[in-house]
Amino acid sequence: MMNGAKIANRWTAAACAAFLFLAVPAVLAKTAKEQGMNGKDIARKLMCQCGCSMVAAECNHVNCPSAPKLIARAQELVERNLTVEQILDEFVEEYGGEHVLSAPPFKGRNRIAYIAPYAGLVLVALLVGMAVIGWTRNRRRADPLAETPEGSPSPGEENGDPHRERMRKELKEYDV
Amino acid sequence: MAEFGKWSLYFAFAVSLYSLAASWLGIVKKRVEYLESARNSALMLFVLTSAATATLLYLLVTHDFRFEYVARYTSSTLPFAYTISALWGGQEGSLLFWLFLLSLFTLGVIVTAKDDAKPLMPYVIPVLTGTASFFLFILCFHTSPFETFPNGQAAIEGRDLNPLLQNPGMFVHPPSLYLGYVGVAAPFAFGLAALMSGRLDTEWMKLSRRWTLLAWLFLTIGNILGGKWAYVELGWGGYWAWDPVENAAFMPWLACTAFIHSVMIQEKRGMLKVWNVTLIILSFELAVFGTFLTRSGVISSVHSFGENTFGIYFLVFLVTSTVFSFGWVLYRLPMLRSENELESAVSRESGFLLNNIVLVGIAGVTCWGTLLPITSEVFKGQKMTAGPDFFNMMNVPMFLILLLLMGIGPLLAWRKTSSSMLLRNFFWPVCLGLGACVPLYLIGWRKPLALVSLGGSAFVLGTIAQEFWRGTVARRRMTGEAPGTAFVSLFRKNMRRYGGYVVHFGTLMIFVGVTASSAYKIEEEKTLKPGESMTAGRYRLTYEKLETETTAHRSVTRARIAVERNGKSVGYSLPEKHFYFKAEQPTTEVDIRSGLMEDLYVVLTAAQEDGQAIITAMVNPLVVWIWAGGGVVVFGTILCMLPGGERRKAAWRKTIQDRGRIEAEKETAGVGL
Repeated sequence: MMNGAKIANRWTAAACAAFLFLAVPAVLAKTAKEQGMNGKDIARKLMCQCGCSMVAAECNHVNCPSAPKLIARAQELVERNLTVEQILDEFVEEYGGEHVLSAPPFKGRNRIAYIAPYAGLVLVALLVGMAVIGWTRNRRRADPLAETPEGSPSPGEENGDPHRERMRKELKEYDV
Repeated sequence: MAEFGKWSLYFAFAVSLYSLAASWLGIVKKRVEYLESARNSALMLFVLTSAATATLLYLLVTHDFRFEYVARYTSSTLPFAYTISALWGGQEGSLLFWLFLLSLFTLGVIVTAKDDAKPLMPYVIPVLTGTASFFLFILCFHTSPFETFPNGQAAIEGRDLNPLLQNPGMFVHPPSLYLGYVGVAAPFAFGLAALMSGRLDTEWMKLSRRWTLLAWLFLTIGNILGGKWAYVELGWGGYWAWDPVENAAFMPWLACTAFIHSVMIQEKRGMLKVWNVTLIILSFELAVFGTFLTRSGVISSVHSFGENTFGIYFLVFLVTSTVFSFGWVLYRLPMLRSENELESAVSRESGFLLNNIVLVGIAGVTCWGTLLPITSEVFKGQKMTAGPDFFNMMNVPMFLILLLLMGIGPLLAWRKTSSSMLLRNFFWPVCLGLGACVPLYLIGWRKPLALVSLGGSAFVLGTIAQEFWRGTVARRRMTGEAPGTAFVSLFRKNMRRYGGYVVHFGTLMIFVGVTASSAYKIEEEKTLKPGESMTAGRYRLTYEKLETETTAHRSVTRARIAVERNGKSVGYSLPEKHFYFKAEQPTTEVDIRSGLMEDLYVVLTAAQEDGQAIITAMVNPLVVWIWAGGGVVVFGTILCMLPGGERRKAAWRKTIQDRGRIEAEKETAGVGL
């Protein structure tokens, strides 16, 4: 049994490790240019504003009024040695909202957009999992001798007839 | 002529309402003659909608520019084939085409109904005619394809069909999707009929099985061809952009896929009855939702028909039909209890259940992302967009789980799988999956998710091969047939099961193609003067010159680019830019050199007046596998739909039963075996 101090120390160490894990990469964040990115790479994270609903790098509408501007501006910001996050923030400011981004940044209330569907899914999976456990428990409780090998008939189906059993096995084997 | 088309629609609307009323009276008063009348009027509906569709086709091919629709979507110089495709190229025409297909499906359902379907038909018919009456209401009172210009005037020339739609793929892609959307109405009608009539055994699923597969087949073809069209026509080098309209077609496909799998649990074990009716309702409502998205203009998309005023009617129809359907589910809840319960968490049933959760989960996430611009504006006051980054981040993990389940599911036994069986069934496929990762890693394909996907695909391939191997060996042992004959006999004996494996194999090919082309795509862009070169992967492209030509319909600017692969000349690449005079719209026509292992995809991004050209070259690995995989899926689905397997299986069961009885008699007589 661990005493309170030991537990506190472990928690402090874990918190420091988490801080380092999160903070160090942020401090050492490389600029887009250092990562070898160009304007077109950044434009994959931006939505074209011509209404085509494609990312700016992939909008290939001839004479598109939006995509070339976005790519050129992204290239300009890459040349200014900004990080990807800074470049995207710059676009949000210039275009007056996050609609210009191809995915909402994972911060603030935006997190709901990412977490909610998975939370719903996990909830459903949990409910189904609980139902499955309930079913299997009910079954064991109802028939404690029902430790049947795989594929064997459920209680009620079995009538003890060896020929029927043999036939069932054959059917199972050739049920291809 | 216009009056004929218009009045055909008005009559059809009246007939659809009459059919509804007659069905209702027939059911309530238990009068067969009313039900017969409802059936006949549903057949009449097909005649009338066919007449209206034929009228619009006639107006299109005769270039009757007195009609707004004809003037908006065709021109006198539009090639004949595209003049035909203008039938579904615009809002009103496509609604009419949709209605025509729905009446065709209704006709099919009525004509093919045998004695076992008769108890459900009084309920099936009103569901289908009720859906048709909604479309007729829109076409008669809100957006008719037979509207003429004021004062009998005619346009001198038409505006032409959108140049992006002037592609051979557009002959098959939209009709396939419409057939898929409309096709879902048939199993939905059977499901709702089962709920309304209280006949909630497996009969409705058996009766609607081929209709479900047919709808799924067309949705699959529509989605695959939509990807092919985007790849060839849009010129951005990809095939799926998670565009709202693409998503709208994908969501019912997912729900329908889940339904096709989960019906097996009800058929085998009498379980998941509520879930099955829920899934078929969901499939239908998602199809309607897709139509709403495409036509309401609430979300902008390159595919949508633009803004209009009748989106609200679609919304009302969507809400009403959902409430009505789920109302019946609630009402019949006591009758929808499972006949059995899960015996083990490690069983085929659990596998299917998990597969269903993932499929519906992907549909849910896709729906969530598609609606994000609207919901974020409502709840956050700021519009957010969900582009490919969002969908890939959210859906890729679930697709990988789905891939693995595709391999795991068939290896699990019904009811319960023992640990020894698990070990026996999974050993070789797992070895193959892990083994496949080694050469991939060695050739430099080391992205973790791609490795999981490709290794997982190898695992699934192993499971499929193992199933065929075991089946063939069992068959040979039983009948002494030659290996080839035994393999073919497997299909003849159980088309549904082995057709399903073929579908899984095709899906696997799609998975491999999507993974490789997404993770290992090479893209280069360069401004070139004549004589200059660029490289993309193992290709070297030398730009020679720009060529131009003009026809009555369009002008063409073409870049002539010499292509070398590994230093050897392989010919010329000729990407083009077109300018359509009537539509005053330019388009990009890419040059694709397709191979089994990779595509060289060359785009003339811009042609400058001084003769310079901006060329984008992409090397997309294994894209052909996606189209070929689509073909395999179609082939497998057709196998699943072929009749005969069940009959042969029943005959085989009878033989075995007879053998068992003879043995029993012998043993009783003391002879033994």
